[in-house]
Amino acid sequence: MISNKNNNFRIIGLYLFIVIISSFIIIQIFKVQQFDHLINTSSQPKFFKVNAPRGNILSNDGSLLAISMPLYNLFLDLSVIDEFIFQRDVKELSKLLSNLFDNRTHKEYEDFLRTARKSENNRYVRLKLKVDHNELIALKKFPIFKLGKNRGGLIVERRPNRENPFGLLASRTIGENRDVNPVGIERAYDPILSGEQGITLKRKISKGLWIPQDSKWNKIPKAGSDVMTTINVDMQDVAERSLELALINENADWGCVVLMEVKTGEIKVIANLKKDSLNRVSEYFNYAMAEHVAPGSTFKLASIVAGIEDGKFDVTDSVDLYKGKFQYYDRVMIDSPHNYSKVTVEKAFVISSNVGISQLIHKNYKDNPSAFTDRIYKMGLSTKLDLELPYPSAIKMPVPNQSGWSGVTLPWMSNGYEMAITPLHLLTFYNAIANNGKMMKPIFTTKIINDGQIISEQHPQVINPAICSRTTITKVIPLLTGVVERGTAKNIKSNKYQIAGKTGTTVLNYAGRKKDEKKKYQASFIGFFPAYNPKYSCIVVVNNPRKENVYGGKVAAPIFKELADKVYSLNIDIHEPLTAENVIQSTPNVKTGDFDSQEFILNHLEVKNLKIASEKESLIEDRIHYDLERLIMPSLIGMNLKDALYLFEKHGLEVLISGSGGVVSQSIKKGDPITKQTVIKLEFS
Amino acid sequence: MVSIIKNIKFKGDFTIWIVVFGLSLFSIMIVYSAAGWVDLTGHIVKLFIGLFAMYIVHLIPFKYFSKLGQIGFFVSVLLLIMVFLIGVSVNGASRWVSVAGLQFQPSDIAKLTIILFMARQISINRDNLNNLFSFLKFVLAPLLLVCMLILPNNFSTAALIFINGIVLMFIAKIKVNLIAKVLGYSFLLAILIYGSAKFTPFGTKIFPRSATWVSRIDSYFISDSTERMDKDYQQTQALVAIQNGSFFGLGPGKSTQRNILPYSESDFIFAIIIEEYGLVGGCVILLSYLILLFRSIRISLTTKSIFGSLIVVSLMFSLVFQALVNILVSIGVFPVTGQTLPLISMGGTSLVFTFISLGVMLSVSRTSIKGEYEKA
Repeated sequence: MISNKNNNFRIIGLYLFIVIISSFIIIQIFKVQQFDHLINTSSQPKFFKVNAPRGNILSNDGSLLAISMPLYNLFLDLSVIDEFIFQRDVKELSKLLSNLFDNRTHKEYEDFLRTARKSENNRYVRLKLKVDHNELIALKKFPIFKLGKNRGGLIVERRPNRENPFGLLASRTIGENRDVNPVGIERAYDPILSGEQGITLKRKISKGLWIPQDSKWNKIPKAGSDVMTTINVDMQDVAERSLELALINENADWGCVVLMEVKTGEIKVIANLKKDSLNRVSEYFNYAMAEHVAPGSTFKLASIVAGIEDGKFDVTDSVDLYKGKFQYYDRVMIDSPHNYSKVTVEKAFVISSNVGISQLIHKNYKDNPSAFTDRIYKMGLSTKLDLELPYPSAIKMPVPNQSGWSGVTLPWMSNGYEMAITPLHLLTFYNAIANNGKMMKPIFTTKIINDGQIISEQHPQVINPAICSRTTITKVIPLLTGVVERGTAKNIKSNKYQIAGKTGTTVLNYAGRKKDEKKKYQASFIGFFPAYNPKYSCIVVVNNPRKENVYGGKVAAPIFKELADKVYSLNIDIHEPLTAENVIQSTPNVKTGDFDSQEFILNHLEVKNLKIASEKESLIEDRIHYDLERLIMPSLIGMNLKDALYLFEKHGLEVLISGSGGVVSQSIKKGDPITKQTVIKLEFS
Repeated sequence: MVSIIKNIKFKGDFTIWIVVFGLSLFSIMIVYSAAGWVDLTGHIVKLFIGLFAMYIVHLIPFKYFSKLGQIGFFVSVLLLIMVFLIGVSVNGASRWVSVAGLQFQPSDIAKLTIILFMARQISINRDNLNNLFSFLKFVLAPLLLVCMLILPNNFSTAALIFINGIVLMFIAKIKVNLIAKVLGYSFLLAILIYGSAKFTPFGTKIFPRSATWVSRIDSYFISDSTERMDKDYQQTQALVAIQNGSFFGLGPGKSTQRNILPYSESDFIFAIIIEEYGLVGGCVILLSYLILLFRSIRISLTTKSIFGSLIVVSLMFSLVFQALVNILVSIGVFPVTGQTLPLISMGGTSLVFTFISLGVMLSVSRTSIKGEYEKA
């Protein structure tokens, strides 16, 4: 049947068949290209950018200050659900949805699902927007939905969402990453926080509706890194609370508190609060970093340092205060009322005499004011701080022999007027004094962390290794402690640790005030603690307090103190070692609680406990009430007289007492039934 | 080293060598375009393995392929049964078998070995094939066995193998009415199995998996809306690519549809070829396949061995026909099947088997050029 003949017509036929198909293909391609209507390219699938999960902002101990908590928008493609499965599970699903979201009854859900399924546009039906992660996880276990996207029809779309678990805490510094005027760390670290965008192919299924499509070119976004800040949540909280209270009590406009670690320049606290006329307080503006105002008396430290550094005077020199009133050319300088004439420089500083400080500077520098200003410039007070968080600089520092410079400029400048500088900037200067002259740059972040790995670390940065000599510093620190010990801020003197600081009371409308206009003040306090070997420096500014107190010592210093106390209590290592006389000799009697544990602790601490109650029972108040209500006698051993009387009165029971102190025995033993008529005898020690 | 290179001699039909090299180079370009760097290295490695395998195979005298085909056939049937059973046990059809870390589809081996085996059977029993029973026993039974084993998992490959078998019978000069009967009866049988499985309980009793087949076949012809839409979507995107390409194409590497079109590096690579190289490029590719088929026919006509002449045309037809099916899918004439474009698509291990079958053809041509053929 098979011939060996080489010419095989069947093979030729086969070849022709293939050639014909090939020709058909070519014609078909030609037809598609030339004659078929062009496919509408406006509805072609497109790649969409996918934002990466934004990194978190952490406090210095890793608490979350700002986190990305994505929410989800849920849609349904009801066309893909099998009819049988739908009919079987729709009731159950509706019930679960109703339970989960609580926004419609299960009947409403069922109607909604059935109607939507029948409608023409059933491929992208909105189920719910802004669903959180836990709800989504629950939802994915529901009948029908658990079949997955292709058979269950659940379309999940992520939407970015930022939350600040600590609410307003340091919110202006944490910032906000919005389109218009982004601020704070969110802005400064945006490239690091945002990570790398991904792309995903989406196809259009109807007007304005695009659904994700698999594609090998889809790129999963790379999550942003976390930024660890220097902010300490506990300290920040104390600062904000006391500042808020002060703003309301003093009826002030705004205030700010900044706390800096002396050695590193780390900003542990930065609170900026604004109060409106309804006493509502919010973080509205970063006053600490961007409000440029005349600092007032707090600047006197710089004047004194400059003079001592230049050898013009010493703290023990005397200066005439002219009883608090002196005229420079056409302007009169006055002090808060006092009656001093000749005093030491130290005294002038401690009572914050404007006349005194201005006399010192005016006398010594009036012929060569540049010597003074140059010294001030050298201390970094005229140079913009180059901070990681950007802010507009409006720093102003007088320049001799330029327009605006007059005979009165120098004396007023020495008292912190004629200039504009931010609270943070002045704090940086005080911090340098606290840090033996080494000026540290304020830093707000320490680490960049991605997926638990530290990517980069920010180390302390030195702006100026020595803004003045060490001898000058040892001379001025007693001046600062003097302010707190016996000067304008003696109200905040602490007997636990020493504070060095300076008050400031600026008259804001000094120059432009009209005749009848009230003076507007700005109260401030700036300093560091403990005064010797300081750990933290801090500034408090309260703007326009309208109550009777306007002085820095009265308005701002107490906030400083409250924060300092808190910080002091949080930092065991800055505590002075206890002296022998302070050692606890004995403790009050242990009467209640877990005796075994107490005994262990007391023994470990070698504290003699005079008497440990014999009955190892603890007084649990709730339990006692519970028992008495059911007329069962509780154990009252250890309870004091007052509490016992109150207790029985409350439950309408009669009691006979003897002695005073703690209960040592009771006439009815624990667990026995009692009646309202029973008289219970209690013996007190 | 030099002596080794000198000793590498490309024997056999020179045109086939040239076209295969040409298409392989083109394959690198177009796969890079469609899939990018990441997948390209793997593809190049497989191309080299394939070319190496082709070189080695073409050095084997083709008479051995008769015996090798027989062994290969039984091995592939075993592997198919294995896959079939594993598929049952995991309640989902698996087409893949893993040997020494390499994954491959037994259907790829079956596609090659069934042709070798059938050609062997035909050439050995050629005097008895007028007899219906021996025809059924020697030729049809192996074909049907392989097709039935592949059918549940991969309809299109089963159909392609069946068509290859029919074509082999056709060029082996088996009576046309016999072939027509085979076609007719298999069609009837298919309907019968399908019908009994779908409408009566008997089918499922005889073939436990027939219910699955029914649902698979149903889903192939009457696929559910999502699958249907996805396939429409793919073919629509392929047509967009073809329209983009126009006459001369957008130029190498300028495809935009590669981003959108799924499987642009395998199933729909022809659409990307048209987009980048235009109708002209498409014609060149088609012409290359026609040249390959033409050369195989030349070889077949000059070979005095019946076995040799049968395998050389059948194997090449298998290759070219698969190419045409792939292209017909790309241009929206056929429904989506999942067949790759031989020698060009980024197609895993099946690529290597394509090269092996080319090696077999070259081996035949090498012998026929030398004029030393042996009856197999």
